[in-house]
Amino acid sequence: MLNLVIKYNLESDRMTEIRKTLSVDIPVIQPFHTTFDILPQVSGNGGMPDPFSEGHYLLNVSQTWLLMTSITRLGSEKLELQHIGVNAVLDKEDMSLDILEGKGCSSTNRNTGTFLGGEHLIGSS
Amino acid sequence: MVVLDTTPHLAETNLILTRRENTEITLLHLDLAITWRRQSSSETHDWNTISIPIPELTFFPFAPRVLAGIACQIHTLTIDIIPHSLYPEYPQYVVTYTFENPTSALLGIDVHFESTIECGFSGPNSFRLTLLAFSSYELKLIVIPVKEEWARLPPLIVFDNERKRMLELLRSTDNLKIEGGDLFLRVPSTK
Repeated sequence: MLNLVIKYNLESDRMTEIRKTLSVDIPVIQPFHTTFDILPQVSGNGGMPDPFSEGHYLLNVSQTWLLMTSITRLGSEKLELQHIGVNAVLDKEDMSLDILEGKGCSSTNRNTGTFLGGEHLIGSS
Repeated sequence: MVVLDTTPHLAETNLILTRRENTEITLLHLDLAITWRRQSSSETHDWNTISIPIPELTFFPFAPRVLAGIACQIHTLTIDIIPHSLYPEYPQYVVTYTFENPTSALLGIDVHFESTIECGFSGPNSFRLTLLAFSSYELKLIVIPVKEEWARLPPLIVFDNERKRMLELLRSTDNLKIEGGDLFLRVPSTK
């Protein structure tokens, strides 16, 4: 809400201050509407641990998930997108998350990645 | 850069989650960060970055599962699949089923594909499979849908003999959907 306060006085009565207030609701909308879908992917080599060579009592298992984001603009203006990224917060110390940007994430068409590592993940440095 | 007009923009991000094999339920909180600006021919606007929360993701303890995916429609058949050219006017698809055992226990399962009137298929339909710890097995079927829009694929029943439970079936490509426990393939309309 925007509150406007106008203070003025009349030329005939300069000593008396007059106030007029006006309140206006300005709708602020998100520029985008987003929908998400997450699909499990077949893990490549290295997803499944080798129980005969790793030597730990409990092994680490990796699984890959594809996060698909659909972005639609709200409003009538065209928008330019420079970069789309995913941020995460890990609240457990016995896991790690690799975030790899794929198609449609960057205007430079370069795949970038972020690694979040848990300190207590077996084998982590 | 990408200009966002009336057509939705699609972005893909791979999340590789590594956990200990005995991990219980894991909750993941993610945000989508979009750097954008208004497009204008008369002035250059500043870039803005907004953060949009992604619905909380729940990852369950590791358990054997089946992933189903279709990479593409095929026009010429590849090796390892019995060729089928009896009905060339119907599109043919290769469905890849990956049976995964991400646990330290041996897995013995009974696999059975039931028939459906919405598509024909070519490949094994009933067999027993043993998977070592932390291993997977890939099976390919040719399916020929005779229905447009969403065609019901041959229902798959995978039963773990040791633990007396069914394995969960998940889709790994977005041209599939799961409804009521059945898998459906999106078939483009020819009209």
